[in-house]
Amino acid sequence: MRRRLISILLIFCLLLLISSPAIAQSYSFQLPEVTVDAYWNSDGTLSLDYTFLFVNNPSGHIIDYVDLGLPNNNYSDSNITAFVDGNQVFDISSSGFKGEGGSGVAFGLGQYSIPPGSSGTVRAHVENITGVLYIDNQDNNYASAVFGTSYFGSSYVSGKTDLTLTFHLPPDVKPEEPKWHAAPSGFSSEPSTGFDDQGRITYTWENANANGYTQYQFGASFPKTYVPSNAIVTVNPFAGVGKFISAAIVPILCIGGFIAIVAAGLASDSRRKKQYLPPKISIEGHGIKRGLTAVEAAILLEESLDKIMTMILFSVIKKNSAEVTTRDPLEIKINQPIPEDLQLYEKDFLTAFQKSGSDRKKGLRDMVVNLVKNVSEKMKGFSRQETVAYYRDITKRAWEQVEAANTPEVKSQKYEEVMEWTMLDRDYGDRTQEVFRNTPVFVPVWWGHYDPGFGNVASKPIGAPISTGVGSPGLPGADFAASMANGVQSFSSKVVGNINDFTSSITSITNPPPKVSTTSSKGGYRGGGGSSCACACACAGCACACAGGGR
Amino acid sequence: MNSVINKIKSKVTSRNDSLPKQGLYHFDFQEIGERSRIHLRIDPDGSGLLIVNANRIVHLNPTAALMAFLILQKSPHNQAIRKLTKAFAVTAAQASVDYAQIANQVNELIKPNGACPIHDLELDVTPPFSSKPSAPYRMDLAVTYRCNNDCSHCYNARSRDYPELSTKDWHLILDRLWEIGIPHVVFTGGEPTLRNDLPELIAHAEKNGQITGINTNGRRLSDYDYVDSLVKAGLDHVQITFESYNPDIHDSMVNAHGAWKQTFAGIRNVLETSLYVMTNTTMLSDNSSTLPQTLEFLADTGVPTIGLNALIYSGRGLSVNTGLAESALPSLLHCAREITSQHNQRLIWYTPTQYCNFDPMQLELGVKGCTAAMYNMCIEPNGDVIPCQSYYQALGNILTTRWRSIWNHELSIYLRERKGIPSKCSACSLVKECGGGCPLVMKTKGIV
Repeated sequence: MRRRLISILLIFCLLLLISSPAIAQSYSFQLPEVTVDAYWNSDGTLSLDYTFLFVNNPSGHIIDYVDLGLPNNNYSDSNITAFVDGNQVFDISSSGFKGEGGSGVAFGLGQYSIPPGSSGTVRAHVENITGVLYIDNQDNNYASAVFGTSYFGSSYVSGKTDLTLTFHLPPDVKPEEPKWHAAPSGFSSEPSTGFDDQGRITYTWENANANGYTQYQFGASFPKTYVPSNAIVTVNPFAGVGKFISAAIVPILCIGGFIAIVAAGLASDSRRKKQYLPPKISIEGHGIKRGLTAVEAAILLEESLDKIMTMILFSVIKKNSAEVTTRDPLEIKINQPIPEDLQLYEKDFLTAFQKSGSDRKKGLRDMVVNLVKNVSEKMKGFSRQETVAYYRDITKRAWEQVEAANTPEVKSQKYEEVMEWTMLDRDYGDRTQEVFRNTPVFVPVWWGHYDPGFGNVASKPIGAPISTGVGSPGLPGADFAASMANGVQSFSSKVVGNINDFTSSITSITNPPPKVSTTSSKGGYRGGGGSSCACACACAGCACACAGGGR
Repeated sequence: MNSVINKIKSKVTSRNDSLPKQGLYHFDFQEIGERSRIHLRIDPDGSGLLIVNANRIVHLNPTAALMAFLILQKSPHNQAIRKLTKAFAVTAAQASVDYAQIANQVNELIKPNGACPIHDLELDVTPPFSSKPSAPYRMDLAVTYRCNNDCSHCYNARSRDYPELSTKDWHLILDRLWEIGIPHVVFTGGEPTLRNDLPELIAHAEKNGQITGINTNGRRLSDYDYVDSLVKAGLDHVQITFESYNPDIHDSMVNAHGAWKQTFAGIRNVLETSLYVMTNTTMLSDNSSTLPQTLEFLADTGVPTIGLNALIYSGRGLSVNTGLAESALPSLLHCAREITSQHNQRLIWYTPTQYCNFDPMQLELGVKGCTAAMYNMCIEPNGDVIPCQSYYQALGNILTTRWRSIWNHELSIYLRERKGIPSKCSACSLVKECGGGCPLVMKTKGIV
């Protein structure tokens, strides 16, 4: 009589506990690693790759035959190959399969049989098993693919098994479409997902503490459109199988006393779950709003108002529209006529400074309110999040240009070119001091119009054109940096008094109390929208185009 | 937010304790002075579309779609988490955190004056016209081509005595549209008020859960009792064509003496109701010079929303020769924007244009492109489906042709995928927004 590992239907675990001792004592081995790849093909068939690492115990019988259970009989022996330690074996037959009540194939290992005390790797490949898919009974638009791993009798196999099973879903199935079913105990509830070298979605379950005598059943469902409709079994042949098992099969199998290796294509209905993707809500619209000035970007980035007004001050000075006459208190002289190409907020700024006291303060407040509203208008339909990231990146790159300059002259020139963008940096003051601490600064030619005490340029006639570019060195870097930083910090005290009160007077107009807890507002004004924002219409995703016009 | 929601009286048309199947679900939230009609469309892959008052449309992935369903059903939190963990491979803790975040967003989105989805909620923004809907959002129902006006620029290319379906057939159509997943229908024509069964059709659609509107010349609305019958039927919005503040210009353009008087009376009547009211004016050489006065007149009348469009190159529009060049539009719309802004009115610009000639985004009018056979379609009086109400090429009949065949008709795909974009546009950075303008213009002018 041939002594061998033989198989039966794995689902009947009960019989394993009462297998025939005479046979059971013949084999004793461990199964430290089992790897299974199940390929659910576009033609609706299943291909399997099994790799077993057998460690035969010294007292065990030589492992000369291995049975591999399969889901059904819908396969051809010619589509099966097997190897032992890389050596192909040719003794493959369905007729030799000894599993009771199931389907499968037997491998005769022949000269590559694994002796007691040795180990060997058995690989088996089975192609194109048909009749393995069923309609998912929770969604009849889905095909259900369920697979149970082979296992051996607990009398023969001992120790832990590192079991890895990978489902390769049909080609072109999209990541959001398939759903996995509940995993067996001991496996993570969520498989690892990925793509194989063919771009197919993979679900991988692994358990280093599995064993070789338990059947583990896994499942997934995917839209049935990815396989031919005639490849899906419409009637589950195992319907009512539970009753049948308990009433008839189990007693028969107990008598037979076989051990089991099988893969089963049962449709498990009750425990399947969809893959959880983080919830996402999206809306059609624009992405980045390009073309904002640095001052407008500062509004969007919710920079402090004293910094923003300092930026405007620099801006009008650079455009030769004004110059500082005294810095404490801050007073400016406005050059007439005011150039036409000034931004509206620059004009409003100058207009405000033509007044004094509370009128000036009110003028500056109105200037900021209008600026916030205009930025809100410009941002309609654009993504605030992406736009903020865009201008943050511009700021980052502006600093990189300055820091990469090799000489003080080039550094100063670069700084003058991108100064308004560097000011958007929250660490603008510290960073300016860091960059210029140990280097002389070639101050911009307009610097004297900002710093009346700086003599080199102060003698220029008021209103004379000021070219952009770099003047002569005349200010230690540290002094320059401190002047820049302090200029920002002290703007409020010199012009608008308490900056918090000033900001509150603006937010009471531009930004009613936030409505949603998810808003990431830092408590400042909002330049990017608000409850009155009309983005819903500004976005593309509505059907109002051509809605009845033209009659 | 919770306090707000607690006050809301909810009516769920399709209430179901189990997980949602593919289809359309309607939720009606009402409180004093505020009403939200919400539609949640669940697609076969589990993803969803949340449509607020037939206006704001957001896209949901399968997880968010299920969460939105549970939120709109006001499922108790613990029950919702149980359902989520049953449906998805996710821990209760993770589901709870995500659910709370989505609840915040959904509850804000469904409020008529809720937070801005882009700036306050910071939803992901996808490119314009990038979504691939499974069905249109809106279906225009040209229930008749009869009309008591005779506009010289009318886009209607059919005869006035075109065959019309019975009331019963239109009921079937409305039911069919609901099954397909279309939440919004607009009765148009011709002149839809010439069908005496219009209130009955509106009532049927409303019973389904659909949002209804009419596009009308407004003349029959001069009868307040008739307006009342429409309101009682459940009508949600009305758009009235109003060509000029000057009665002579209006009557001349619509070729009907005394029409202006009736139309204006109709406007005043509907403004007395709870209907969402807007006018629409086609800007042609006949009336464009009076646009500022017309807009001021409508503002004084109290019209809250103003629609403007250019000539449609179909029907008589092909030969009327009163259409304005696209390059002439910016100054008119700039003026319109200023006037409507002064009066706190909403301005809607309809016409898809080539952005190189006229870019609506520059005037903050939003992204306007052709949405035929994508976001909207039209059904003719005999049940034929056409890509839009002025593109007269039948794609099949809604009563006899499978929807999939209509939706995936060669012309539907041609328009939806914008296969007719002129080659000169391929390198343009605005091609996604623009889409080449109106396909009828391209066809008429031989661009394609």
